[in-house]
Amino acid sequence: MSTPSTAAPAWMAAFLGMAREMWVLKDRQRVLEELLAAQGMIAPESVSSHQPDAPLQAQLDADCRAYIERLLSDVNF
Amino acid sequence: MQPELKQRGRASIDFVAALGGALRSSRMQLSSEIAAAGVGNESLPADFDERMAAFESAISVAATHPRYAALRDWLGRHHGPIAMEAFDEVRGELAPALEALRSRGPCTLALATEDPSPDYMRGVAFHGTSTWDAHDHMGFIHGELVHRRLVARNFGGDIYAQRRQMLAELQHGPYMRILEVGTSSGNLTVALSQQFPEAAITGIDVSRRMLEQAQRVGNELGYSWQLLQRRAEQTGLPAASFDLVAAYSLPHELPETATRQILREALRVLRPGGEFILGDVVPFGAQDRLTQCWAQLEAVHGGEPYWREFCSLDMAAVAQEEGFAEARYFGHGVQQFPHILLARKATQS
Repeated sequence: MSTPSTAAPAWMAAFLGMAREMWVLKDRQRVLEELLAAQGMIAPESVSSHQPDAPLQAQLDADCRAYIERLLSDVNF
Repeated sequence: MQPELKQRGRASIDFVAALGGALRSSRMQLSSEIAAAGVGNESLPADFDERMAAFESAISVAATHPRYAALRDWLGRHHGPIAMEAFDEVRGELAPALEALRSRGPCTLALATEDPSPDYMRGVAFHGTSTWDAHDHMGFIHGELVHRRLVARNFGGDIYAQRRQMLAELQHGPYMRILEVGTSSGNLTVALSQQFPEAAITGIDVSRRMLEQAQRVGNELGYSWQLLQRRAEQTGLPAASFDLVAAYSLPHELPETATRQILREALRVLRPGGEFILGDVVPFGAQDRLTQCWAQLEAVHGGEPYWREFCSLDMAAVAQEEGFAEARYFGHGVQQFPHILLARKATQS
């Protein structure tokens, strides 16, 4: 007779791993913006308002697709 | 008007678009897996309900199904709220331009004193997210962010070209007085103005927010459309006052009874010899069994409560039953999309 598994589902590990990486990035971005603004390198809010040009948008799209591919392969289904 | 979004909204919409690509890949993988398991047109039952049960049973045990279902459902639930959030980040900056586009220009909009939405639309989360008036700028959000930035990106090609191709099927002009039913944010209205620049165009819809966006589109392009917030089933417009009644992607959002009422109302407002043209999704009659199952499955999970009802209809027969003298129902191109109903009122009563 089999017993019910008490292990967390596998996808939870991937989800929490991703959540950690996302928080690290959010924290890092805030620190970077603060430092750059403090040194007069960028205006406050300029990261939020920036409109990517076509080459950067294409690169971001490609990176986003690759990111999703990696993410889904880690979920293992 | 193409809005400049903040980084969070833009990146979130980019993420949703890329996730849409991943959903397509998962669907293809799932198709291969069920084909390898012997599920196909020959093995699926003739009865529609039995066929759907067999199909859903087959895909539910396929290896890729959890990924496919997770992507499909997440996108269905979140694409609308993400677009609304992206808009809300910039609404303060957009407000003056949005207001100016409504108030300055040749396009008029007359709103109803009471919401004319029919009972069959109330509380329905169309496309899995919301009603057409769920946000005070839903028309802009749907037209510019969901349609132009998300749907068009994964569509491959000009998403609006099919409206123009549909209108090229019309052969009994001149069409000087045109009524469009279900104007939404004005995409077919633009095609009508481009195809028939001399025509007087009246557009009706039940959604105030979609009509407000259509007015912005009309004003921005300099078109003097007359927009009215009314039901297509009961326009209140004079009999025999239009040469053409047109609609795009409307009846698959409606129960059959409403579609039949709209046809009868179109017949009433058309002049003798006037035409009704409609473009919409591919009906089951033009699809093989497996394609029907995929379409129905995604409709059920995509906020399309009337899909099966509409796709089961032969619209040429329906148009003739409702009084049109001639009617043809045919697909455009290899994909048979859009499927076009072209119906003509008798030249003499």
